[in-house]
Amino acid sequence: MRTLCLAFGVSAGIGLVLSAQLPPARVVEEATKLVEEEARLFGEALADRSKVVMGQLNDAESRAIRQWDLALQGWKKENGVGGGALLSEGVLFDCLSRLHGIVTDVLKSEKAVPYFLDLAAQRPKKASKAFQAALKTDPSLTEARFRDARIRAEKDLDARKELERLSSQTGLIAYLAAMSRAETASRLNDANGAQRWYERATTLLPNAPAPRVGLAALAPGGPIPFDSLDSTDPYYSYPCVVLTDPVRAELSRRSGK
Amino acid sequence: MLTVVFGAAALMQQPTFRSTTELVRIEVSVTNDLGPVEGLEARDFVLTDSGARQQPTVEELKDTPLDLVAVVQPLESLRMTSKHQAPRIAAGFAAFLDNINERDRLALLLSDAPTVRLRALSYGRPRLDMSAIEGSPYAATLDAITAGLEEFLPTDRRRVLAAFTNAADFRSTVTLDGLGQQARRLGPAFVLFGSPTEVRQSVSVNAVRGAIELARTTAVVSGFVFPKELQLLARRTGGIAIDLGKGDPAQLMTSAFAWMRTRYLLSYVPPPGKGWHALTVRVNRKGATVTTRDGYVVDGLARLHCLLAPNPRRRVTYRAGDV
Repeated sequence: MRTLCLAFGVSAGIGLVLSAQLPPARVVEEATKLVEEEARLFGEALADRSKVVMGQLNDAESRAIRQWDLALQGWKKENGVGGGALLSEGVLFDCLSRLHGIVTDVLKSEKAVPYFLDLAAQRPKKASKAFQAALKTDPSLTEARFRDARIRAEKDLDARKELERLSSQTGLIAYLAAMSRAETASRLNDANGAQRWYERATTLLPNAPAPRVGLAALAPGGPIPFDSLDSTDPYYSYPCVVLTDPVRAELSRRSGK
Repeated sequence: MLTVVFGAAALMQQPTFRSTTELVRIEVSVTNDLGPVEGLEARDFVLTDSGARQQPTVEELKDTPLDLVAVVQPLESLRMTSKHQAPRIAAGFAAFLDNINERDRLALLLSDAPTVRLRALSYGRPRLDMSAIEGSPYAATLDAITAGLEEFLPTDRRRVLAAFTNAADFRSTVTLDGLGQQARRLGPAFVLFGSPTEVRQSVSVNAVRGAIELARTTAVVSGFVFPKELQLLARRTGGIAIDLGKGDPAQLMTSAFAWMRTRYLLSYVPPPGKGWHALTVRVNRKGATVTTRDGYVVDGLARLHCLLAPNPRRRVTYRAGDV
């Protein structure tokens, strides 16, 4: 008995066994049938997965992600790795977890996956793990605390309480925590809660457009006065930016940006 | 009969109702291979609301002026995930503007993060440099559509929310489910112009024994994926999703505007009950396709939207300058 291996050019491989007693012509015929059938099945699976594909991250963005990832690999290998590297890793996963339907590179710390598989769905867990590791190393990293709570809030009461605690303070993280708490309430069909937390966000950042939009989704109230609101809103820019100044500076130095 | 008075200023305040029962008005488009089907009367329609057959009054409206709120995704954000989508969306949007006439009112929002209002609801075709829709790499289209719904004014005119997008949105505070909930209220139809994503990947399979390759085959998986989210949202509001990858943008837009400007208005007293009212509408014409919303929600907010729907019993003559 000898093994006949089927190999795929993409990312998978299986092995199967054919009898060595078969005459050579028959073996080739059998192998041809098999590869055609496997290609058909694999192609169908690929086509099925591709139905949710919305695009592929362009070269410039992919390069930036690779640089960030590369910088992290070096940083994490150093002795006495601090919370900064772990926070940066978490932010990278957090950022990429938003890109549902977009084909991106696989990061160094990820396993190869079948083509067109939505990697974004697996990344929040990885982000959360990195944030928790960062907090173990440096409990003062409020950003890690906030981002971890945001990811877990929908399923975790303690995480929701953490967001509430953070949003009772002032500053950027408080604003983002209030926005995140409102979104969680909205996802949990708690319209009153969502309204309360969007209103808290407007108290913290009175001219921010995002909470106004959130409130409009809950109750129509006429045109949103964009002209008198800020033209930027940290809610929209924070997902792919490390907010903690010294960590962001160190990441920039290491990634050459 | 039932009368409800609802002033424009009340939009900003608590609404005041002078009567407690409202009429539901459903916009219905009937088309066949040749375009809109005209001349249908009440007896030609079979309408059910929550499973109960209704006897609506029917008004046919042709070549009606439109109140449009257009939401455009920044071209820069389209380039972030595809080389082909930005030119397609830009061409579609330009063709859309070409179809705006002096009787129409149009508001324009750029679904940047955050939303940018390029123009409030006003008459006629805007003079717009396409550089105005370049924007930034991130789009918040669901937020912009939500904001767009707020741009409409109380009116008897047909209201349509048009969005140009590839449906990739990584920033909005409003989720697709959240927007879906908003779409369940009686409001404008969504006409969503999407750009498909090209998918191409080869699959190579070979069989080896030892060092010898016995057989090899290569298959190519290729095609265009149109975002199903757009179809779902459009259907929910009685609107349509249009694939800008399928043909000449000018022709696609001529058909879209013919669709928007022609409709039947079906009015009836709804069966009582809060919550979801499922709708079905059929016509007794062979080969005709009926497009209407799949239902509506009755709650405080839905009532407000319902009241803003056009009143079929009021005859209106349209001319430039009407409000």
